[in-house]
Amino acid sequence: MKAKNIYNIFILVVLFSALFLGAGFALNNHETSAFNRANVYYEQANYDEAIKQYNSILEGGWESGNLYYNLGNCYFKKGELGRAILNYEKARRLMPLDKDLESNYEYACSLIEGQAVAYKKSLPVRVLSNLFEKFTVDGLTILLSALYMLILMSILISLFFKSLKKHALLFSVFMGLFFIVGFAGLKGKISLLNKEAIVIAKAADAKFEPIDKATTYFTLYKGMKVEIISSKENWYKVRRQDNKNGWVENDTLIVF
Amino acid sequence: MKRILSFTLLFALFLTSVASASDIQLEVTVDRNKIALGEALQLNLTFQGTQNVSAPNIDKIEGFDARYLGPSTMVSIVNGVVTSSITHVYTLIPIKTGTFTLGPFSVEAQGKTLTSKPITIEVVSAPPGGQPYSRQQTQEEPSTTKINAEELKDRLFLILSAGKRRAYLNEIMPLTIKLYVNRLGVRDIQFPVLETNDFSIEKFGQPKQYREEFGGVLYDVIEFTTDMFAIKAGEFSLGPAKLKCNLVVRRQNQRSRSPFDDDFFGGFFKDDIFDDFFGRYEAYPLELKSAELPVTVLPLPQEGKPEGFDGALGNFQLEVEATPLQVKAGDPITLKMTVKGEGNFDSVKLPKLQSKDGFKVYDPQVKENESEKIFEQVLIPDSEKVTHIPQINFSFFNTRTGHYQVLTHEPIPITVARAEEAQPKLVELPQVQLKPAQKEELGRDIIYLKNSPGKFRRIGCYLYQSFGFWLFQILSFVLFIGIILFHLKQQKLITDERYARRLRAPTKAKKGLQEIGRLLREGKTEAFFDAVFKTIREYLADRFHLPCGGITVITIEEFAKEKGIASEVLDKIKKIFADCDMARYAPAQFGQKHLEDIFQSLKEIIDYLEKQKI
Repeated sequence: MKAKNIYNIFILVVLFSALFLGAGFALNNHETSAFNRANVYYEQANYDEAIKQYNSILEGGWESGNLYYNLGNCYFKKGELGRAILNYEKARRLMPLDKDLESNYEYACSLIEGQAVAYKKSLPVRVLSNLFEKFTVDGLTILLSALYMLILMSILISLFFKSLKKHALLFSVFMGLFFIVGFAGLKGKISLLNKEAIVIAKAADAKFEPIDKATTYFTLYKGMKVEIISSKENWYKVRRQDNKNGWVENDTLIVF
Repeated sequence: MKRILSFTLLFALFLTSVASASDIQLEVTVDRNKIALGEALQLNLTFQGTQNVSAPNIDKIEGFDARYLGPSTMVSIVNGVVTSSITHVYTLIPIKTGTFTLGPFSVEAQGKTLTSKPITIEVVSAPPGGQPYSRQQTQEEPSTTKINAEELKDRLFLILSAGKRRAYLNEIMPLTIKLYVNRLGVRDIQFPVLETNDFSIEKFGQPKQYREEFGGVLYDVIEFTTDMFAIKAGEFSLGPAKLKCNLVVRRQNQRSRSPFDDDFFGGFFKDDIFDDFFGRYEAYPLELKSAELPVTVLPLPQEGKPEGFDGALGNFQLEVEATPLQVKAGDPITLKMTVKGEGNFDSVKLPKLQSKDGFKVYDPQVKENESEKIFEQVLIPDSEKVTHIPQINFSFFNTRTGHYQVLTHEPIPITVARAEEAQPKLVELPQVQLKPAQKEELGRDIIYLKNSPGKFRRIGCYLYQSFGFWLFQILSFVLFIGIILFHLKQQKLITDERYARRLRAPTKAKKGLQEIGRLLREGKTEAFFDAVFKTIREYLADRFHLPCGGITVITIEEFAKEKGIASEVLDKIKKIFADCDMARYAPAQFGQKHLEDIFQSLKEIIDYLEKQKI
């Protein structure tokens, strides 16, 4: 009976995994040819046309890390630092481990005007945020799912194999801790989706109130990243990286 | 007397020193040169190199009464050289006070006339309270109980001497400290100490040990030698040298022996020999001081001081050797300069090259051997134009003549060839290595496009939002719970027998019913009833967790009342049991119809009991 059960579990796991893989697998012939066309335009320094081609893919509802990367390069060459950084940021969400991307992103950020603002976080927060930066949302989701499976498996092992009971339970407790931390990380990542924004105007004043005549608290420069807290009419309340909040007109930003 | 003789013999044997085998020598010694009236003096006439000399007749010595004690011979082999000697021992007893001269003795031996040095002896009147004969008893002992300070000075003293009384600054002079011991037990001798700020004194080497005659008395001598040189000019008094040692003295509280005790043998044998060695001797620490030694230190004269004088003192020679004499420009030549001779080698510095033009000169390597100092210097000629190694000068102050002296070595001709092409390359190498040290200026721009689009995905579609993902998680969890429940059930079956039997009962009954049905169709009445009986009994036993053999109509009735089983079912059970009983005796009376009824009612009973919660 036991062997049969384990066999069944195996079959199920294989079936479902196949299902997920299949779901993500699609032939994007149309998109690929547009991508290649755009690259040719880029080589001819025809950045506007290249951007148009890349955007056509996005309009079709498809995205990829490399696509955003190339788009970022186009905007960078065109001199639109804000949109370049915006696309690099989008690419980072899809391929956070890409070295070329990291290099270009850092270079682009180094060109931002104004003083770099950084808020010193405590060590564990810094370590965790650095760790979670290396994951995409889907990657983290799969990791958590795997952890969840491991926990269930180790509990079952502790039931069926008495000699391994202690170890298996200890293991599951550890996995549980990892799961909780990972879950918090995933939740944080998801909460930032469509809540981050890049300044595309040359400079944007962050004001105390969502009114034109309100006092300016601080100024944001092209390429700076902010977090959207709330919105009102055509104003966004944003939080800078040093945790200072202010109201910014929504046409100076692009949310991603 | 016999005792004295034996000690004398031993002592003579002990004293006899090594002599050359070829010549016969006469050595005359006394054990002391100051003596009180009534004491005895020992005179030894030692003939080195032979044993074939009869005792010379020395009866007539002025102021003494001489007695011949006997000869003692000795043969020694040192480093394979055999030496022999004979010592004729006499006892001299002074007759009157005054200063007397012993000898010179002239003895004829093997056709030669040997003459000794004269020895002066001072005879004083007996010390007050002194016991004249007690000396006779103790004089031969290696240590005595009665040594006064005066005597001790004569028998144990330290002499400090220097090779020169007048020396130049930095001039090496030998320093000798001698410890003289006459018939005393001295041990734990330490190295002498000389406290001075005016001289630099090297460490003492291993001391030499020998015998020496001093003022006609034979002493054991320990000689410490070293070198020293003055570091200041002026008049100094060196010393005193101090030396620490332990004097072995017989303990005072020994049994006093009467000088008139004739019982010589008794006295000799009464002494415990072990007591003698371990009990009676004591070590007294002593610090000996020598006399001070005046030394005059002369400064080096200013006049005639040559140029380039580096303070070398002594008497030296200079040897110079250069190899190779034929080189290419840039190749090294080793110049070996050896300063030989005697003097203070610490003060010898590198001999001077008259000029260093055209050469690259390296620091010399210095080796110092005994009585020579070698300087090896590497010279590298810069170009092929160099024709010789320049003149070498070495100047020193000759302490013997008291003048400065300059040693000159003539220029050494050398042949220098043009350097090979490879040489400039060697020079260039370090420059090549320098280049990377400069900070590199790197350009900066973005990295080029990606060639492939990578994996496309739907915008805004995340895995966590997909239905399939959550379905998978939920199904996994359901499966997990299912496995756990199944496991718990298996566990219950193993541990809970009532539960297990209850669960097993319908399955077993079903099998029984199938068997019964088959027997019914085949018309095997007897087997049919056996099967019916077996099935119902086992089913009831499993169902109610009772022992199988205990199932009777009575137990079923009691049980049915307890559990509230419907009476009609109970009646049916009873009927089946009764029919089964009947069939054993008259199986033929049951028709097919009857058997089918029984089968039917058995089914009904099982159905009922399965549905009933009991």
